[in-house]
Amino acid sequence: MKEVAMAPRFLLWFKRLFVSPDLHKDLLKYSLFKELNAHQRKIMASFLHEREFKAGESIFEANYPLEVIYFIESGEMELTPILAADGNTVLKKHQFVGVLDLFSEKKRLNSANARTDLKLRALSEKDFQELIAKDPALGVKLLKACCCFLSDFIAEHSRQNRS
Amino acid sequence: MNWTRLIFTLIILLACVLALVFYSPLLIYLLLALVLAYFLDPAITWMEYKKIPRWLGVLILYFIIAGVLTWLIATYVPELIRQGNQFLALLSRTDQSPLQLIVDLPVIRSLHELVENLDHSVPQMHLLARFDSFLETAVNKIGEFPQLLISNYQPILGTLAMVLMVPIFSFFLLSDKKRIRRALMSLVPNKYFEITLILLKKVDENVGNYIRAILLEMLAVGIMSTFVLSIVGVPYAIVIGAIAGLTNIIPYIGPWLGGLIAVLVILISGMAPVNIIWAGLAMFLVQQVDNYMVYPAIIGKTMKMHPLLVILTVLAGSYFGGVIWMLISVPLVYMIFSLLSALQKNLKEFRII
Repeated sequence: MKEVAMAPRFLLWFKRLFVSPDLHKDLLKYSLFKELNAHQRKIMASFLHEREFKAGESIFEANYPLEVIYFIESGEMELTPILAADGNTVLKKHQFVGVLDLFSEKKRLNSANARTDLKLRALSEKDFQELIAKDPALGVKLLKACCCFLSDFIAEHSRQNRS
Repeated sequence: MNWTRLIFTLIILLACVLALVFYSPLLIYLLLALVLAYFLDPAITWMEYKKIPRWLGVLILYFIIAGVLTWLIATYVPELIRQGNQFLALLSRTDQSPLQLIVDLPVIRSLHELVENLDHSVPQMHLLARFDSFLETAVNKIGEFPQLLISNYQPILGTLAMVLMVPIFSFFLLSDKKRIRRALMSLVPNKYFEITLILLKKVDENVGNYIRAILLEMLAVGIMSTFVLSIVGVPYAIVIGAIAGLTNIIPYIGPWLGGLIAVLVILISGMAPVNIIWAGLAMFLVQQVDNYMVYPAIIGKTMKMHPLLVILTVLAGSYFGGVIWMLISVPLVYMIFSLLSALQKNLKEFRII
């Protein structure tokens, strides 16, 4: 009986060697990654750098070259001048900054400071482009999410202008 | 001034220097492992996107390479052993002295005749006596070679073991590439994070492209040389082709070495001297195809350096650390140069200088 039970356990162990557990479910909380499957999230996570900023510390300044998209893991980030269409200058947990600039002039449009102690995940712009080029399925999902984000931004901006 | 911070930084710097000194004998092997890792990385990354874990991708690739090497060895080594045995049998003949055996080689015989004629023309210089003395010294040195191998077996085996470690170092560099990169980046202060990322990417692109391009060019030159030398009928065309491919990496000097070895083999094997012209023409053709088709297509504009600077760098490399440094000095100097120009541009853009 013991030998029979050992076989499935061995198979499970063997499978685990090749299929690693989904350790990156938290990425689903970012709208940019919500469509990614476990394997795509694993690849994405391998490109993300973890950074910590103290309250008041500068993250980047306007007109700096755009190299990194920042995803907020915890804390608050203040942008100047105003980025969000609703006039909000503060970005919070699970929001991100840099995607809009990515499609403009590859220069930062805003300056960013840590309003509180901040934990960020940073994705290099070149890694972002490489991911899109090397995995078209992943690229389509990311670009679709970018389009949704931009369309929401434009819609909100138009609404604000009308009112 | 924050003394605690200063002392901590000094301790870290000291630890880095000590680590560099401690691991310095391994640096060259680590460098070779890096070269191998850069060459194999695109294939591993491709497999990673096909849901094959990186460690498994490296193992699959190692098995494929080992399979190809085993096939090559199984095909060509028995013939090399046979020829080596013939040579040893020739040397162990007791009816002739080793000096006489060497003098009987066609190339040495013709040289001997030339020196003999010169000696008759200018007897005061004792050219023949000097040449014979030189040959005797050379034969004695060759005779000492096995003894040299035996007495130095420990360092030789140690070096061999370290060379075998290169694929193991490379395995870890490849399978943990992103983890290593993240760990290194986590040491960088926030202020310099983005600029470091740009520079790291630049190094990665430059070095990776250059190494892959140069290895592909070596392969192309090796195959072409083997092919043309086989047509001309030069013995050991595969070995000479492999050497020609390998030495081709040394700019300006390297391409001539393969041709020189082909000429030497023709002279030693006693083939008709006209074959030297054919072999020379064949290697010249290979170089022309390499210079005007392969090099621009594969390497393209990855490296722009003035020819004089390239020659000076190669010579300085050979003076500094022998053949290995001759091979790596040009890409190293180019990489440092392009890194510094990228650094200057980005330091200005990030308003650090």
